[in-house]
Parts: sequence; structure tokens; C-alpha cells
Amino acid sequence: MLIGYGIPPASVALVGGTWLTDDGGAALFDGRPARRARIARTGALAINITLAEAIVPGIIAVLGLNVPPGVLVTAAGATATTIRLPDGSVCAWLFPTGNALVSAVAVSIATVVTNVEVGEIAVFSAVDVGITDGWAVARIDSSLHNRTKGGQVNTVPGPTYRMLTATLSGRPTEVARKGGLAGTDWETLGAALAGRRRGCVVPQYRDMLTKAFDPVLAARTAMFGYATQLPTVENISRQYFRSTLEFEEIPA
Amino acid sequence: MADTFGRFAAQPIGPLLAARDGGLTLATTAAADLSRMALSDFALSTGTAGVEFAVWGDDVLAAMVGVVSPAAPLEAHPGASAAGIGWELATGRVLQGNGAIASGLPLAKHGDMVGLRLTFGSPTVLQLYLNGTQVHQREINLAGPLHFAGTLSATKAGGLCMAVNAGQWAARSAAAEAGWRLPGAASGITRLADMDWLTAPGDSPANARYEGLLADGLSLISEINFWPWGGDPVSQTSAAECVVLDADGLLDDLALSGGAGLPVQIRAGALGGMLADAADVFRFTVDRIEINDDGSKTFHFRDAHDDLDATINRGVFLPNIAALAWKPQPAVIGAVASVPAMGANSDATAMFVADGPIYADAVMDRADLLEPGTFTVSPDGQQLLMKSPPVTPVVADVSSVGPGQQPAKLRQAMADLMGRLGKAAWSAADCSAIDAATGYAGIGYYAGNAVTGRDAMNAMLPSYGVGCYQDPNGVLRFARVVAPETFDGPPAFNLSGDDLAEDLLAVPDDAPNLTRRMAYRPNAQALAASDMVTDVVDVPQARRDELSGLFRAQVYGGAPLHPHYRRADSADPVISLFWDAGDAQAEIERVVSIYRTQRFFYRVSVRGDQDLAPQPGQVGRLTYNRYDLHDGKPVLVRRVERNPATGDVVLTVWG
Repeated sequence: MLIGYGIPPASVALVGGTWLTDDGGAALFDGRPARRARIARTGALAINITLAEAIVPGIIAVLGLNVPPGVLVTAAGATATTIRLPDGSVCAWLFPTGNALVSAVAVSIATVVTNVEVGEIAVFSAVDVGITDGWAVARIDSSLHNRTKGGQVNTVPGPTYRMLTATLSGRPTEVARKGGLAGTDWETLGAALAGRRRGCVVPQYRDMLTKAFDPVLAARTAMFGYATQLPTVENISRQYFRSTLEFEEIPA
Repeated sequence: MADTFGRFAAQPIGPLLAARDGGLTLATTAAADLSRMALSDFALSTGTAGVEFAVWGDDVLAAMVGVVSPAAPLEAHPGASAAGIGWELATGRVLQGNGAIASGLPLAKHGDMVGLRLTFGSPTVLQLYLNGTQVHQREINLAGPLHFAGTLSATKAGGLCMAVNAGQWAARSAAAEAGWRLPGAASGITRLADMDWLTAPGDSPANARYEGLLADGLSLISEINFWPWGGDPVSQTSAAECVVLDADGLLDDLALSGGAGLPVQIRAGALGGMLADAADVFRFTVDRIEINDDGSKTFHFRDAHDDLDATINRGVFLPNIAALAWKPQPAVIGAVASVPAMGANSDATAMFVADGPIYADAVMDRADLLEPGTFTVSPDGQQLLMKSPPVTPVVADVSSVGPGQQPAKLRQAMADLMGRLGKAAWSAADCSAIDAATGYAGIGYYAGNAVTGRDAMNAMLPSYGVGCYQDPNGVLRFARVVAPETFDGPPAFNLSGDDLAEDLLAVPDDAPNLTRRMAYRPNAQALAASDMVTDVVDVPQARRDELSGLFRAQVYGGAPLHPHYRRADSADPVISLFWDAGDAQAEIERVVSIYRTQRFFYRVSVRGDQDLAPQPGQVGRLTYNRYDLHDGKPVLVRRVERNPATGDVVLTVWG
């Protein structure tokens, strides 16, 4: 499973468009994919993001778009096409493969839509953690159902969101708390996902037979959100540990 | 929010002038000539502003009013420098830089209302009014900010006095109608919703962001009342509160500003729709904003009809009549019995009655009816002028509507009341419909003291059995309580036990205030036995009883009543404001016949139904498997508690 974590960008500038929302691009980084920024597109659209500190971008999420599926999105050397999720929202998930530290990312969206809406752009550092069999994704319906005395149901519709429960596979102390996980570890990861910080999880991203990276599958399973339970560090025996994690999506 | 009106500043002020009564009046402190002036406490530079003055006193009239720039010297009159314009009231000249720029205006006398009205612009236009008529208009070469200014010349301290009306009292002309008001700090619009939402690029306003911070929607409460149930018909008729999630502190500034009185509009629309298509849900004003913790705030809303709490009296008496100084002028709406006339001069040959023009039908001096011709109503209709000094107390039967003690129809009464409050958001059509349905001649209302619009409505509406509520557009609507089974329109809703979320609760309507007696023609002032002449031929005992009671007479509704209400047989009368006995008789018969059968309140609750939005006063149908509701029963909505976001509705209905 890929886990994305990071810090919000420092500033944002537009190429090929102007902001229609009077708070500029602030809504792109507020952690609320449904709270959109609207752009009047005048040419080839690119959103230039300056990061607060240099990171190796591993996952770039572009969420809550109003463009149709199939639009090409490019950023940090990676490309992806937008897809429509089962809940009806359109998003693009990019997985750059470079190893260089970057402090600026340009997200270009090759669309012809006049008024482009973007809910959230998140640039994450990513780390691959192994999860054991039995991980689960549940879709939660926030609609309110009230049963009348006659047994009928009055429903106030609400949005749905996904919830992931997973157990991280057993690993030695190095991975749990000694920086042995590509420079980070479970405890550091936990702190990086805490508080107001947003993160993402991609529980399934490889083709089962070829083991090749499958970008469409990755975009379908990827979830932008926050951890309702940060990764625990549970001792199995001696220096071996496992971890459980619960993560909830913030839908667009 | 309350306006701040201009007044004469106590400092700085020209020599030998004093701003009295908090700056509402101006007087000299010694013998003085015109070469001095007093300024308003704040200057204005935009919009339209106006102010009215009246001058009185023992000295001959020598006064000037005008507008000046802040730079004009206080040791000279307003028209002495190029920085000001002054109107010399006694000579009919308009001066600037000590030269007449206009002359030949009508001369003002003691007690005349003179007005100045400024329309700022390029150029700024100045209009002068005398007793409500425009006497001069000119473009002036002064730019804002401008103060209003006044000066007096007198032979002694207080030889002349000047009062200023900056719009806080009734206007005589367009000048005080415009008013001299401190512009309020413009507060931005805060947009909140229960979902994050951007208005469409083609919407109005375009691309406006509604922050999705409302936690559980908001609960609205609106209610009407009927006098047999007890309570006031227009006490706060609606209220609401909602919790706002604000972890980012977007609303901190709003919360700390208090926010009280800010107008609130609530609309419901589709997530993908246009703001222009959103349906009005309610209007409110902010009562207060509570900070619960870092993450949430609670907004408390109240009735949008805040202005009903303003006083309806059009003005106050100025200190030129010492006995009446600063008392609110009494208000007369419709036909009123025994209105006290207040002596306005030393021998009481001029007696003040009301703040608006009235028709006096019968005038009594110590309860003895005055012969026609021994009194006249003054030209402004507010005073009685007596041929010879009365013995006092003098009371009069007067009407604000027409001669012959014409009472005010509900619509006329409400129009008068709302006109006094400067209020447009009320339904005249509802009142006309009630007038047409009842056919009553009407009512009369008297307020000798300062009275709020709400109190006046609480006094007037029970006569008709009318309750008042606010509709989704914020308009004040009037609904008459009728027996629900007599309603023949389509039902507003049709609820059965199967639709309810909880069990229905039934409570008998005990009608604690129900009575068979209705009093009418209340006396504005009840005379004591010692207030009446001793002559029992002119004023027989029956007449004495009428004049000394709280009301002139009462009627009795003789129709059968359900035994549950037998207490009403001996209960004290309800006091109506009707003038005609026939109206009172018809109304009490109607109310008694409503209680021919026993009435009940039913409380029903529905959850998750966002479309069920009944209004108080509407009649719907209720079916339930107990409490004799098997076959369905028409019921009238008394109280609605509703959350448009969650669709929770709690109704108290009556039938």
C-alpha cells in the first residue's frame, strides 16, 4: 500500500487562466475537495505550485474537477487521465517516479472547458508499506434514514465516503521506529498524518499477474483523507512489529 | 440596527450658545447677536441628508440655520464666510460670504418648521423647506463633509430656543425624512451553507463561495396565538439557532463584533442549481453569536421584525410647554373614547390631543358634553381650541379616520401603525381579507405613553382573533383563528399516523382566557367620580358609569358552549378595541361558537421530510388511530418547529 503524506504548499500561481473565486487558489489546499476554486481558462491551463519545502513528490492528487473523464493531466514528469469515480466525482491521480527533490510543481490540465473547477491539489511524499491480507474498504452513506410509525422511510440524502481498515505487515524495529522505511518509519508516518494534515492511501495499485503498476486501478482505490486511527506500533515478538491503520476519505 | 441621529455638539460651539437636552435644543446663555453658531456633532459627505428646526421663545425671531464646512469659524454666523451657507429665517435671505445669494423667501415665525435637505453630488443641491413646503432650491459650491449649523440672537439667556429633528421624530418635510444619520459601518456578507457551494459563473452574485460550515441545518420556530389560549399574539413569533463548525476561525471577527441586528436571509436550493432559483426559507436578524469552543459557534437568530420594538409615537413634546416637556406625544389610531386633552397653554384654551390629525366628535369638560361651537379642532388636527377656558379634565371621543367616530378597519389600523414604524414588510392583503371576511366596522387604539409596535399589535389583534407570523420571504402575515372544520379550501397537509416519527400527543385545550363577555370602546382615560360635574341631569348615573369604567360597555355571547368551558360563563370580559357593539357581539358569538365542541391540541413530529413546510394558521388534515382521530380531523397549525436541512418537523395543531 502507498501512503502519501506531506505539508500544504506555500503559494500558487496560474498560467492560462484567472481566478474567478475571490480567495484565489486557497481553496485548492484547504483539505476539502468539495470546496472548489474556479478558474476562467484563457489558454493552456497550468497551476504552478510552490512547495513550503523541497520534497520528492510521490503522489499528486487533483480532486473535485468539473472536466470530463479522459482529460490529460501532467505534473512533475508524470501524466494521467482524469477518471470518474463511482460517487460521480472526477479526479486524476499522478504517481511521479523521479527521485529528485523539487520545490515547485506545475500541474497542467489539457482541457477546453471554459470555467475549470478544481477542488483540491495535493502533492505528497509517498512510501510503500506492506499490508496483510484482509484489508477492507467500506463505503459509508451519510444519508439520514428515518422510519415512520408506518414503517416507511424518509431519507435526507447525504454524500458517501470510503473507509479503509488495514493491518501493516510485520516488520522489524528499523521499519517501525528507526527510519528504515525509505528514510521514514511508522511512527514518523503517524505524526505526519496527525492533526490538520491530510494524507492519502492507495491500497491496491499493481496488476495481480504482471505486478506492473496499474494507474487506473491505483486511481480507483486511492483515497484522500485523514487517519481516524494513526498507524499503531504493536509488538508481535522480540523486535518484530505490526501496525493497524484506519483511514477515512474526504469526498469531492 | 439603531440609527445615530445628528444633534448640536456641546463642544466646539460658538460663544454664548449652549446645546441643551443632549444637543436636541440650542439656546443663548446671555444677550447675544447672530455672530456665532453651533454645529452638528458629525458631518456628512455622501448621500442625501436633511434636518428640520423649530424656533420659539419670548424674543423676536432672529435666527439662522445652514450648512457649513468644518473650517467655518464658530464666532460668525453660518452665512458669514465662503465656507458656509446660512438661511436668515426672519428676513427670508440666504447668505454666503456675508452676501445674499437668494432673497425674498417666505418669512418664518415662531413655531414654524424649517428644513434643510442636502443631496450630495457634483454639484451638491440644497433645498429649503418651510412648514413642509419647499421654498428654495439651489446648487451650492460647498463639498462634503458638511455640518448643519444654527445660531440665535436674543436679548437674554434663553430668549430664543431652537430644536432640531434629524429624523428621529416625525418629519414635516422631505428634509427630516432624509434624516441626518451617521452612516453605519458597512459589514460584508457572510455566506454559509450546509455544503460547500460555489454559485455559478452566470449567477448573481457570480462565483460566490458558500462555506459548508453549518452542522445540522437550523431549526426554525414560528407560532401564532389566540386570546382564549393565553399569551400575546405577536410576542417574538419566530426564532432559530444553528451550530457552525469553524475550526479555521473564519467567523471569529463576526462573533467578536457581536453581530446583533445583522439581517439574515435563509434560502434552500439544489447543489447543482442556481442561487436565483433557490427558494426563500426564512429571514432573521442575528440575536447573538456564542463561541462554544475553538471548533464551533452557535448562531442565535430572532424575528426579522426587530423594528416592531420601535416606539410608534411620532414625536415628543419640546420643552416650550414645561408641563409636557419630553413626554411622548399620544398616538390615536381609529376611534377612541375619552382621550385626555392636555393643556398646551396657561389657561388650557389650547389642548393637545394626538400626534396626528384627529376628528373630535364629542368633547367633555368634567364629563359634561360641550355644546357644538364652543370648541374647534386646530388646523393641524392635533389640538382642541376652546372658546373659553375649561374646568378640566377634558376628554374627547376622537377618530383618526373620519368624522362621526369612524373606527379603523384592520387594514387601516395596521397601515397607520406600520407607517409610523416606516415598515413595508407586512401583508396588507391579509388584513383586507380579514376585513372583508368579518365585515367589522373596526377598532380604535390609544397610546398615551411611549408604546412599541409590538405592544400596539398585541392590543389590536385579539379583537379580531388574529395572530401574526412571518412567512418565508420575511413578510409579516396575519392569520385569523377559525374553527378548522369551517375551512373549505384544500388542506395544506394530510398527515396520518403512518407518516409520523413518534406517537401523537393530545392535550385538551382548556382555553384559560375564554369568556362569554367582550368589552368594547375602552376609555383612553377613565374619569374618577371627582372628575365629573355634580349635575345628574346633564351627566346621569349611567353616563358616569360608562365614563368611569375601563370600557364603555360589554356584550355577551349566548351561544351554547361545551361543558368543558363552563368557567367562561362567569369569567371577566376580554377587552376588545371595537367601537361598534355589533362588531363585538359578532366576534364574541364567533369565538363562543368555536368552543361549542371541546378543542384539543395535538403535537405531531415528522422526521426526514424536507418538503413539509406548513405555516401557522394553515388548516390541514390529521388522521390517527386514537383520540377520536380515526376518520381524520381538520386541524389548524398553531406552532411549527422545522429544520429544513434535516427535514425534522414538529407541529402543534389545534382542532
